[in-house]
Amino acid sequence: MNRRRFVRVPLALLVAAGALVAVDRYVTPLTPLRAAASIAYGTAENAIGSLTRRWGDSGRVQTLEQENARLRADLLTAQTQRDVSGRQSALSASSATWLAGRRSVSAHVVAIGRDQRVTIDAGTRDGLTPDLTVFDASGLVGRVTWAGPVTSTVALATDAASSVGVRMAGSDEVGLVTGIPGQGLLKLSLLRPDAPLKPGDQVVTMGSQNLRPYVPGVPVGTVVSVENTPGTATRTAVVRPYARLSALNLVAVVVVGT
Amino acid sequence: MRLALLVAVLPLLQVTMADRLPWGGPDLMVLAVVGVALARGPLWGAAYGFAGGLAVDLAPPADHTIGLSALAFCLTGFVCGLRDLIPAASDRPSAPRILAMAATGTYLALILQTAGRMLLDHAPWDPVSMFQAMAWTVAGGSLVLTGLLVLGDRRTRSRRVEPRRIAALSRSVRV
Repeated sequence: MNRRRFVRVPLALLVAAGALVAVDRYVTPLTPLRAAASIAYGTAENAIGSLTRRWGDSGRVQTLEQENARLRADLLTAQTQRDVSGRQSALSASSATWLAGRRSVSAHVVAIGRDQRVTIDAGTRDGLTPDLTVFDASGLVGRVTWAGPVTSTVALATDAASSVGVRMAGSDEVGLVTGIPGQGLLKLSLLRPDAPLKPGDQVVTMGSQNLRPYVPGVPVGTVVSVENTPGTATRTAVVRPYARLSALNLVAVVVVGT
Repeated sequence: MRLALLVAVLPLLQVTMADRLPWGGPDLMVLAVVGVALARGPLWGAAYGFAGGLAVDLAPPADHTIGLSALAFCLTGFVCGLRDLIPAASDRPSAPRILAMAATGTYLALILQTAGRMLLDHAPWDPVSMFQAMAWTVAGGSLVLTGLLVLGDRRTRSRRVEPRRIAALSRSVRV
């Protein structure tokens, strides 16, 4: 056996892998490659997903679920509309115009990744783009980070790299929630250090500029424990998300017209 | 042929089934790469690691730098396959020895992959899911892998081998 081949071929492969990393990270993102994989693997994932759903529940449950999600999206839209008309100051004036062109797309979670990412079976064909809000029947799920032709990738709210602007349901105190790595919980920090805060308080999204990535008024979770450390600049607490992010099935994406 | 099919299907099984388990699941591709490397040597190990890692990098919802897992698994496959080049190891390896190599290999692959994600994609240090992946893959998976390899070894030894396969066998099984 030629021993030199044992070194030369693996070395070439290592260099090739390193080159891929360098190009994707520092030169130009390899979007065509990702889109191709989304078509190939995404179609297969969608097929497996719809097969297991058909197997697991009858078509009737599915249609009811879809109807439920649509109604919930409508309710949310109505709530936000009321919110906006109630306090214009909360949102910029330009935000009022998007409400007309807004709709929701329902999708199923078909694949789960390790790093707080899931795949949903809707993509650019359904009008999805990056930075859209994803929620389910219980509350906020996360945001779309990448939209492929037939599937999209969603970063969960519990991702440590994500941060969501929120306000408290009762007191309207403004803050930020970020994911706590590996625990499925969120860390809330309120901007005012002496803000009233107790376990059981509800957290809803504040809404981002131009509604990307988060629309206002989506329930996020409840406060489970408050950290009392005097002298800190912010008030912190642990929040349990309403949505069961480890067992997601049907979700809705709010499509915001650009 | 069967190995090529496996490389295409494993990422799919991983994201639709293994990672849906309530307590996490083993990293199937890491196990496949280490298994192929241990059975067939560094050339196969590196090639399989590259192809498998690339598939893992591309299958949605993967959201990290493309080529990261390919690099980590390629290196792992190569190192794991080296057991045939080390003279002392060229005797028929015993089951505990294969187990030790499988555990070391899977550990190396997971560590390299995580380190790459933290360095390049600024992924946060997540001890809980890291521990879960380690427990499933290194502790559980390498046991199963060793069983398969030892069984496969016995079967190929007892079977009459066709001349075409002798070259491949002489690498993995020094008679």
